[in-house]
Amino acid sequence: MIKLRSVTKAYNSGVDKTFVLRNINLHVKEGEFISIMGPSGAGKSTLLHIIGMLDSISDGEYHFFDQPVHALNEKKRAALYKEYLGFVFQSYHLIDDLTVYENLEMPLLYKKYNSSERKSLVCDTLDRFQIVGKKNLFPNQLSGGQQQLVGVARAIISKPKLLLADEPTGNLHSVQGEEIMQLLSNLNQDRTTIIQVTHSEKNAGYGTRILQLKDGWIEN
Amino acid sequence: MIRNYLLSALRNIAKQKLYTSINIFGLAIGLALCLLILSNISYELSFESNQLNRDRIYRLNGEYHSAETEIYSARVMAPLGSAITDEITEVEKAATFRVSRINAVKIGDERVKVVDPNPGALFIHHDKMIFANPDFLDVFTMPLLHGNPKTVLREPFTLLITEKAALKYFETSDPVGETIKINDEFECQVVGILKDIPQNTQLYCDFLISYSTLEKIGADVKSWDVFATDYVYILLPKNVDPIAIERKLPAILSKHLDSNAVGKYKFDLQPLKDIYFSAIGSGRSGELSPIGVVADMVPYGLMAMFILMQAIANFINLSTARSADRRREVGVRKVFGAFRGQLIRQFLGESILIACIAMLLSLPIYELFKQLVNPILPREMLVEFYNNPLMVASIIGLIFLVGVIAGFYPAFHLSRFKTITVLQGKSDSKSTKSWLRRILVVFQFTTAIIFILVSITIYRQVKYVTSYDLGFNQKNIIVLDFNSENRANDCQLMKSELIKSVNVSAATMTNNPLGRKNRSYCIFYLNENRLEGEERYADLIYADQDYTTFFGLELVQGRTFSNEHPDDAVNGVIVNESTLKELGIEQPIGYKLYTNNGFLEIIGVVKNYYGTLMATGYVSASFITINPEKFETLVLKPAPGNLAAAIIAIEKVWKATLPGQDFKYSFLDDEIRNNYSEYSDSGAIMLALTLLSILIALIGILGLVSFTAEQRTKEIGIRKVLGSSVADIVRLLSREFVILITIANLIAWPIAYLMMNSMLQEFSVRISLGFGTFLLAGSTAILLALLTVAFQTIKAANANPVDSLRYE
Repeated sequence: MIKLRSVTKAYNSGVDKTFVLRNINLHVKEGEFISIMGPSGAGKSTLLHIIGMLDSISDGEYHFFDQPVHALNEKKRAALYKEYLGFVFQSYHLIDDLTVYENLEMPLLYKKYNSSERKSLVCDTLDRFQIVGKKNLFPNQLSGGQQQLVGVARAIISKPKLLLADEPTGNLHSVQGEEIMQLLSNLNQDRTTIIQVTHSEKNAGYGTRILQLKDGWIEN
Repeated sequence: MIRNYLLSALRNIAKQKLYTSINIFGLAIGLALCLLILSNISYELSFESNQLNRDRIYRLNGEYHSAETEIYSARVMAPLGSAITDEITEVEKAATFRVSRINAVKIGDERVKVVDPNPGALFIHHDKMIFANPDFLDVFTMPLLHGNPKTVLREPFTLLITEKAALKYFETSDPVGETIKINDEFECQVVGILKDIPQNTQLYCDFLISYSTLEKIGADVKSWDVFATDYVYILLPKNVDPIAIERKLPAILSKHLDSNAVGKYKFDLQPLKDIYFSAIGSGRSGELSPIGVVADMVPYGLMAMFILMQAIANFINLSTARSADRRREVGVRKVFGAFRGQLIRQFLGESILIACIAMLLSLPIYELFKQLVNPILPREMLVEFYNNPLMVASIIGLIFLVGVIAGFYPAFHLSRFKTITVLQGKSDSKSTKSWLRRILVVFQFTTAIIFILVSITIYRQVKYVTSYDLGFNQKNIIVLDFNSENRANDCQLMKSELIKSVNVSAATMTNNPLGRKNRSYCIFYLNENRLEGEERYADLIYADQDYTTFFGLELVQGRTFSNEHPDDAVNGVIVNESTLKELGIEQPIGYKLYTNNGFLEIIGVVKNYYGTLMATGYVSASFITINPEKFETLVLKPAPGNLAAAIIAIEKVWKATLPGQDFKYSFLDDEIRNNYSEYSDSGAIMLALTLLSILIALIGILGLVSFTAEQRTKEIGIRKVLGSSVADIVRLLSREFVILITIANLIAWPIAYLMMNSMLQEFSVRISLGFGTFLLAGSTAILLALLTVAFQTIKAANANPVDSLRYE
């Protein structure tokens, strides 16, 4: 599903180049649940953003379902990630001015679902995540765990093949965190490929494979 | 999708109450001013729009050229209209009509004066009557409420009256069959009721009298050699070329005039649609009023536009300042599939929504402005726009225009954010947008300061001229104007009669009493050779012997006019001191000034006087000469005592001496005050616009400063922890505004100076534009701005740093 070959990411800082990722080679098969770990500044988030096509690579090749992402223009890349990818963020990033229902509906609007499809998808998802009762609440009326629940629901509502999660439990206390991890694990069992960035060994344990990053290199 | 945007926008508006209300309020005021201007433009464009045949109606304009004279007229000889319908088959109908004044009507025993509510406003309306031939109602659209349009206007001594006038004079809406006496001269029978004529037509009148009446009351309607008496408007079928009709006119003329005379006349057909706006400066006599003056509204239009632009600047400023709030939303929407175009549309939609709300709010503000402005307008000038399609289209157009202009930059700015930087919480470099913000603040205050300066100048100048000593008597002086063909004679007659009356203590005849704008000038030379290029111009006042004494002009050299010197009437001239100074004459008495066909000899010099303080352009000198043929005004000093009785006595003498002529009088000091009414009115409008302009600029920085204070809470907290005093913080937050407004002053001053200078050129005496005025305006702006920001900054500076630094 994902093939990274000698991927390098570097920034120009003055005269020097600062390398964030060096010579990353990675193969991800469908159905995997990968945890990226490593100390701060190791390049975890950058790697996730590159896989999520939000950031471009400086060198190397990135193939996603045999599409050469590194060679695609912005618009084609956007079309690709719109279709296949879902994102979950550490700080949830729900839109404050929209209700739970509207937040869930938002990705569908951009993906040109018609209104009845949207309605049934949102209702299914609300049901599945057991948040029907909260559909008219605004994000600031929810607890962190509930907000992240909506965040995950929003990420998977348009049935992405790949779910990217950037420290999904980073802002949650342990009970809420466990619930979210359990949820991700269940999604994985339903054949959604997941790549998460995490600091916690325990959360990494939910995955099928752990990737250790240090100073931009993949260890082991 | 749209619902989603709309919800997001509405909630955003509801959440940001202060910023949104600043935006909406400012925009609403700007829009209301623009509506006022648009309403005026629509009104002007609506002239003659009620005429269903307007595309096919042409007016016949005439020209007469001879060795002695050239006449351009909107009127032609009386019989031409009917000759055209008889002899040119293409011409369907020709309305021939003559316009006259109506002074009084008498119904039964009751005599009512007809008074125009706006005399002198170039808008003879309610005292206008039209003698119209039967074709008139076929050419023009003037529906009848009673009466048969095919038969009315045929019989002599019949008339049509508008419903409004019927109610006013007959106190019934259907006085058909009643008789009415016009101007104490002839009686007419009412044969029909006209639906009220709207004011946006040059054909407005309350009385439409059959043309055949004219002949019966002794008017000349047959002569071919009396030029320019009647208006002829012809109705052509579609696709007939008016030029072809024009070519056929000499043939008609030659049947009635000898061939020598025919060549002197020329005619052209002017489309009805063009008449209103082309009347000004057409050089034609007899143009119907009112006429369209586009230039009058241009400065006001510009001012309204600038105030709207100030409000738009507020909008842009506040949206970009607030963009940090919305960066995250942009990032999230992009991650979940929004393209930049979709985001631009979303933000533009929001600003259009705000423009829409502002427009709704501007409608009542517009109504309020309209109430305030209407009394000082010389006539109806604003359209009732709720049923005017042009206005409705302009309203919708304005919403989109303002929405797009205001939202354009914020939309592009916001949608440009890179997803990844936003989501990582990094901030973009903020230099560009704060530059824009600074430029916009400078723009707003430059505009406001120019407004302040112009207002102060108008106020000072009007005060200056109205209290200026004009150098002649002007209190309690009655002015009688004579309009008849024998006006010089009438004037002499009245003077000789009135001077006998105990009610009049002094009288003088002239073409132009002091205090009125002069209407005559002469060309002269200082040298007898009369070299080309050395000609000089002077205001010319034609007077009788009593003029200088009457107006109390103090003689400093020589003598005044006298019967003992018969030459006075031929070439005597009295000048004032400033004329001598202007011409550099040191020994004035006996000095000769050469006119084109003779000379004038200075017999006396008087102290300076000012006819009017309006500058008259090239004229630098002022001459008083005797010329009885030019008299058209009699100026009277009533005997001390009962003024009302004096006027009644004067009217009595008038009626006895000049029967049939309309008695009208005015007071000189009223007229003098009216010379400047236009300026005091525009001063009042300017003051209002100035206040609005300042208000919008101030609420703009109020929004900005409260926002920056909010944004810099942490910085303020840190500074306080490190030992800053409250005063330091206040200075920190307000310093930028002081700098920006100082820059605005530096830009505004030269612009305002040029504007004020050109405005003052219209006056012959001017206030000096001292530096003090500029300093006053500048410091007012800075002071107001500081007061506005003071509250917010002090609040921010007093905040407890513990609270602001707690979250991190």
